[in-house]
Amino acid sequence: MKKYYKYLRIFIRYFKMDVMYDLSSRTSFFIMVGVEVFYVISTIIFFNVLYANIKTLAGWSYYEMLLLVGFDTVMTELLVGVVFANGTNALPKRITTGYVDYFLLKPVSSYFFLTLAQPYFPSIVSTGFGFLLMGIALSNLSINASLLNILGVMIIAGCGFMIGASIMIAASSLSFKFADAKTFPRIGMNIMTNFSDRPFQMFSAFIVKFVFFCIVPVVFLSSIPSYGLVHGVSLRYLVISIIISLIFVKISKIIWNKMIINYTSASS
Amino acid sequence: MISLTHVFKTYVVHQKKEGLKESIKSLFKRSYTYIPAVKDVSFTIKQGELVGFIGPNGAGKTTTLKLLSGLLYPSEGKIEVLGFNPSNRDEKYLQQISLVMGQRNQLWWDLPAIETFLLHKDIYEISDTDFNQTLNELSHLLEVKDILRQPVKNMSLGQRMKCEFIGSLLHKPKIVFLDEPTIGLDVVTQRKVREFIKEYNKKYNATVILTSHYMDDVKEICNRLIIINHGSLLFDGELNTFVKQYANHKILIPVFNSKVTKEELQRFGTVIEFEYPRAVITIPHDKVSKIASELLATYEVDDLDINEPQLEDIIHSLFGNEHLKKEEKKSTI
Repeated sequence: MKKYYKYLRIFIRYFKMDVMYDLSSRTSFFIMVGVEVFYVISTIIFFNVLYANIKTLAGWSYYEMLLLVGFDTVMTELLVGVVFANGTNALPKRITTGYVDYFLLKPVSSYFFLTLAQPYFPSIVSTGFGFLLMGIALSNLSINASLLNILGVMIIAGCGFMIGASIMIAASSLSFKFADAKTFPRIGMNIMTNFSDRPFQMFSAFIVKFVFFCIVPVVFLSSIPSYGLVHGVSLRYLVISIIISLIFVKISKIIWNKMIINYTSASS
Repeated sequence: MISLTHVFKTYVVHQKKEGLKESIKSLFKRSYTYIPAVKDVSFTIKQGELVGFIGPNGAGKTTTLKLLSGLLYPSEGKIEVLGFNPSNRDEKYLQQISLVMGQRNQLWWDLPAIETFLLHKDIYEISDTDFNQTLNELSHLLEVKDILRQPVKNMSLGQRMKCEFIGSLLHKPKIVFLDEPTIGLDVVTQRKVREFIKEYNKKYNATVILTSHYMDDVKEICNRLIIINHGSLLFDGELNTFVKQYANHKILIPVFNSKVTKEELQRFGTVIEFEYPRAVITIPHDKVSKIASELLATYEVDDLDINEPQLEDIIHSLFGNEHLKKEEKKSTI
């Protein structure tokens, strides 16, 4: 427990430092937030155009879809802000420049320190737009979700986040072996986010369902939790998400430990 | 405390030939070379020792430091530091060491140095009292108290290096690996850093292993010298022993009162400097008294110094000879 408290303190310290750093450059900060807002707006426009021609998509109404988009914005921005921006995405450069040395010489798990410890403030700010969309959708859907249901949604979303982080970290760890390949972190990110804002009922064919529920279980990131918020959490999905997330975290750690052995510190 | 037993480290390096054609070829077929960076190195170091680890560029100094700190896995051999195998990167081990690299920085560039120190406080779980006390002490010793709240990007190289030291020593490590800590610093800051290292060693009985190309660093800080070249150990012992063992000559510096020419002095030894009335002559170690008395008998001399050769000169001649031997070997093959 003491160890996790230490990691939390490091995370908070890095968060404070990143806020100070980002706010010291105002223009850059607004551009970064602007890019995230543009992405959200373009997604909303796409669904508005789509719903101008159809009534439901895989059984999801417009506001249910808006809830999904909002939920997915929150989750993907969290993945970008906590795992990708200052973590997995920075890893290949840190390897080639030898800056990984700094992290490996500190008494902190490299798995945490190099990937999850350094949040990216603009992405955390951008989650606000996701919450805004969720608020608009929920006020139009008039849902009376119980506390237990909300807790279930949060657990599934937490598991979805762990699955996403595990995939992204495992993919980026390949950079230790193939130092000149800088695309691994982006591949890991795209695997998670390219399909996460789709209703999970779309993946109905057996093979497709197997892929998106077991091999790349993106459905647990946004789709299943936001569906659960409207229609109630399925106990089956709750249990499956916990089991799958634990398996993915374990596999990710194994891959990380195997890959990091290949690290050869760059010469000074 | 530190022990290396028959340690080898070999790097596998992709050979990239020049030209577009070769680049396309290398997509399908690559050739690799094996570069032995450390070859059969063994030594032990006791707690509190100040060890100078020297050698020319590419000798294997930094690789050895990285092996000791756990950044690299040895290809062969056994390393034990403080009872740990460094390459396991045990958190208890990392809590007790520090590696300072003169050519790398760990401070956040855009933020004041104090922010990085606070980060290290959380990383090393230093209590508030310990943190404040150590920070006060180190910043006082290094005379940087006034600049801790200034963004790192606005500091001079010397100030930055001093802050790097503070960041690396806040947790009071038992072993400090210093890789060229005075590189690029001005003479005054170099001296300050040297004094600080000695002071830190004295106060905390910390083991310090230092690599540097500045022989003044080694002379002023270390009492033991380890010399490495082409990955192999050439010498391991006290500084004085090294000078005695490898310097087969002494330096004679006469200041004349009578007329003398450079050519006349050649019969006493090798004249390496001559600017009347002063000359610098190297003479064989075993003929010092004979040559000195002959010189005094032949010329009127105002002053005569007999010195041991400078460490730089011995190292230079040692590595120079190594280089020559290698060249000779190549030509005979």
